[in-house]
Amino acid sequence: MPSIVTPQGVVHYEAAGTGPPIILIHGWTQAWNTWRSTMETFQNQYRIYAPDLWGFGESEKEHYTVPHFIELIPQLMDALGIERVPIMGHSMGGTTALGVALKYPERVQKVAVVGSPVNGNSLSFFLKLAGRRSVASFMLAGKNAPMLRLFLKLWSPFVSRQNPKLFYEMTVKNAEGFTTESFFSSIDSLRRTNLTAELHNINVPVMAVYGLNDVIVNPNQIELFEKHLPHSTRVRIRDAGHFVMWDQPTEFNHAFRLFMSL
Amino acid sequence: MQIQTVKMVITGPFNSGKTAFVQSISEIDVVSTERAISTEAERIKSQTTVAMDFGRITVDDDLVLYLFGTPGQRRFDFMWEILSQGMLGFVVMVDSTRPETFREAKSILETFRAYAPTPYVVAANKQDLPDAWSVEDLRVALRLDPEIKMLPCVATDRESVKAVLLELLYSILEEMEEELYE
Repeated sequence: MPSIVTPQGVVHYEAAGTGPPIILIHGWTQAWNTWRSTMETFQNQYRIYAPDLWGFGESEKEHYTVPHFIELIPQLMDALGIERVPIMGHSMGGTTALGVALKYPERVQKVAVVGSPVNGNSLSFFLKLAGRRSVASFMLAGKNAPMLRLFLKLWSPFVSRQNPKLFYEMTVKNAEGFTTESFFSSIDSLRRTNLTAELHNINVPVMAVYGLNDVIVNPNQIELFEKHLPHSTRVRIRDAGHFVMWDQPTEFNHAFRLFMSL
Repeated sequence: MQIQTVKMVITGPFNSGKTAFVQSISEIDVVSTERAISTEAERIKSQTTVAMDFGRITVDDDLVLYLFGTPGQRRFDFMWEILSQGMLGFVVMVDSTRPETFREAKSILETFRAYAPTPYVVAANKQDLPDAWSVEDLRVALRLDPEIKMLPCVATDRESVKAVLLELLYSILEEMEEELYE
């Protein structure tokens, strides 16, 4: 379990494979393991790094807003000795990736988002609610957070029609890695993030991948790429929800290959 | 291992579909207390619930959601308060095809609100039938405020039942948020 130490705290990451590097960033409530199957599929071709964002997985739980996550990536790159790299992020991780491309353009070779909000307003009602301390405290109260699990159980068939059980089990497992503070602070900061006006400033290749059945982030976010980054590559995946890489792995892997060829 | 339980109540007038709702989602055979209808006027179906329907959804080994369906007939209303104890929230079922029951539905809603000020949603059931009133017409007929959540429902369809329960959970979370600002 490799990790690096930064002034903001420990960052745990997983790495696999050999070849040119790429960084994969997970989304809210999740951890590096979002990418486990992607790492297995592409480890013959690439050196894949998947960090746990602060507040999640095994990373430090003291700084957990989108601006913090944006700072995490170049620090990880410094520690790994990587100058420039393609970055792909899922959901909040994709918003983070866009933020890195805007703030540190010299460090980002290209950027891909998967089911990510460009405007935090596109988050579903539940995620907006979860940005409240009172709601988060209620959901995470008690041994093993019964309300969170009940909610996830009822929600899972809507989130992932293909893999409700995987979504449920991964999220419950990853819940061990976050705190009430990191749970609501991160999603609240994501809700308040809006990169729409800055999107056109990204000068590296951009790919946007959205599952058309996404009930967590409105897939209409893809239209912002169409409008503000007309040269971006846009992939709409049918019969996939928020977790495109789990719902339609073949289509997703195809998009991944396309991204690496940009 | 201690098992945690969460309880939700499904209520509504006679023949509104409470038993079907619980049966659609429960993983166990619903423990129901159906008895033959004794009153001529109520013989629009052969059996009715006299104590409760009891359904169960296992979330994990240590976490279980219990659904309690109430009897619909007023003369069994002594069960209502007992069943409402400790509930996280409730669903009021309405038979969208029988306007003569709407007043009773509203009255049951108010009775349960008085037992416990917990969140609730109104399920406009039997939306698959041709003479079903639309959710919006029902809202007007029941004189329900716009902020009260009403959902179209087909109680025999598991997905529809899941959507109603999820909406009830949303309402519970919303209430958590509102409490912060009170």
